[in-house]
Amino acid sequence: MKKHIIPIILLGYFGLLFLLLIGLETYWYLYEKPQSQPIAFSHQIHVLKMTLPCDLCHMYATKSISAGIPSVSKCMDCHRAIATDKPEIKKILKYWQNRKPIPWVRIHSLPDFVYFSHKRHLKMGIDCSECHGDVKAMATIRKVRSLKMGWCITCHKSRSAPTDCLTCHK
Amino acid sequence: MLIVDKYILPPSPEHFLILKYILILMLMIHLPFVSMLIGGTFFSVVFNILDKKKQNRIYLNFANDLIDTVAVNRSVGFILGVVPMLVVTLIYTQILYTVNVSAVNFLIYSLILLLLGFTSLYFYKYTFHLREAVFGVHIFSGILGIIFFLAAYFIFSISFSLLLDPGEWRFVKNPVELISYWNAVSKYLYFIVSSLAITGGGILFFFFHWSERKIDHDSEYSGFIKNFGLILALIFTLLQPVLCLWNLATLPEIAISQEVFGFSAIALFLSLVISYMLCAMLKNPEKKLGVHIFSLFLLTFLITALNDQTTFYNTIKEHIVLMAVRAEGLSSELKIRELTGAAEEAQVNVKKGEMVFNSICSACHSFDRRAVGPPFKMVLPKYQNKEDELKTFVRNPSKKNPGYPSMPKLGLKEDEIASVAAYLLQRLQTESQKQDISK
Repeated sequence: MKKHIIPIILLGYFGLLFLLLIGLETYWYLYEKPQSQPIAFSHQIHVLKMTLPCDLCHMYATKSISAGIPSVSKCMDCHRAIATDKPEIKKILKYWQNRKPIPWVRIHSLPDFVYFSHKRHLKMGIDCSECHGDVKAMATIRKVRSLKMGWCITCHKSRSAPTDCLTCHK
Repeated sequence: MLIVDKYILPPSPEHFLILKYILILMLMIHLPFVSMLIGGTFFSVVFNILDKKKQNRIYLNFANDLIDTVAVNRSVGFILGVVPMLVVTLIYTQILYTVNVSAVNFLIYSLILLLLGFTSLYFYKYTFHLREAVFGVHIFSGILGIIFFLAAYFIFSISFSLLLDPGEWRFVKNPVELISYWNAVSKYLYFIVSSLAITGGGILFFFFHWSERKIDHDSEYSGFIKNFGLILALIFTLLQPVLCLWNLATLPEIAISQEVFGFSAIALFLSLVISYMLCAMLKNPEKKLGVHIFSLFLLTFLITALNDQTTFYNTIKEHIVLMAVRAEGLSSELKIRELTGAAEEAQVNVKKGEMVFNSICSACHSFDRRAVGPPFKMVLPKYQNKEDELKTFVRNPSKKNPGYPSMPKLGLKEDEIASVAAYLLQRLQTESQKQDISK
């Protein structure tokens, strides 16, 4: 037993660290890994290639606190005629025919106790990419900013925007 | 970002890949050398001072041999220490073309501190034989060298940490602002711990395998060095994985991918094997495992470099796509110029318009049939000789035909609007001429 004490201690120590690594990976896999969407929608094609503006689909961004996810009929406005033979577009058609919304997986979400208005930020001339990154270059949407309070405050301070608690916590 | 941006061309995706591997190669050449340099100089200064206090011949010999071994000479210091760092800075400048981040400026500060560090360190090395006469200046230069090196790599680590969090790029203008940033702190501590661990491994390799002439006649001295190298390497090899995990836990979400966990698992496994070998050598000092241990340390550095560059490339995924578009745009513009001749500006404009038409307008419009939007032959005639009106419409479309959905406002640049309008009107002319002939 005494002969094997060092390998046992080493294995115990590194085994614990391996468990920690697996724990970190599991957490990332469950909560942080970019989720796959029901339809492989590419912002790269729509925004970077076709130069469509963000508010063509997220049409409430300039008018309301939520930017809004486009309805199936919005997709169909164009895809009634465009790329109708592509498998991903056929999926939209199916949702349209079944009169069902597309169950998009939400990537950017703030806690309920945070009041955030898209309209107010856009009115100040803040570009969508400040908070969402270069979405136009994303084949699959992903979160590229922490969207945590410290980050919001840093930006508010840099623009001399209010940092009073009540600004975001109504 | 930097003044050099205007002299750099946007890199293509293949170019990004080559840069990634050159970066890894440069870091592989540079970091093990400089890590041993920092650890070796630190212990050389410590044993130098200890000898002054306790008058121990072993301490003095070790201080001298250690600095001789790790610093080699000025040429090696320049080739392995300064040149790769310069290349790394230039590569980051190229990769981060047009990105508004201060990290490249920080790397330049780091390079300056590194040069000051090398100057102080070689002063320390070359004044060793004069230490009795100028002990204060000699030790001070050694300490100053370590301070410069620690500051240089502090800035290097935190710059790299900053690169992994684009949310902070716009705000951080001073490296000191990142002191409270956990990922930066963990990266720096990982670097220090790895430096001390590889210094231990380097002592075992360079004193017992690379050149044995300094110690082979003195068993007391060689026993002391072996024990010191083993204990130093073991303590910091055991600490290394803790910091590796801390660094992983503090990485921004955007930088993480499955490969990052894979590299961390390999690094952990390597640390386990190294620790086991070190324990075996501590138990039986006759075992000659120095070469294996040192090679495994180098492999750990390679894995860390691969891991770091993977996290960096995960972060700049979108930037790579945007640069690819710019590089492609630039090359097609050059191609058009080559085809048409630089003088024919108008022709270049029409060619560019055709490209805009093919990549954007043609998704919804055709010349002679209905698609999402109306056919051009139906809507364009009213703009004949009214190019400005057409440009105004493209710039700011409004609903004109009740049978079609309204055209969205496209994100076209002014020169693209002008060229597509010129192309459309010229095409309209060509198409009507064709029709006239066929009639």
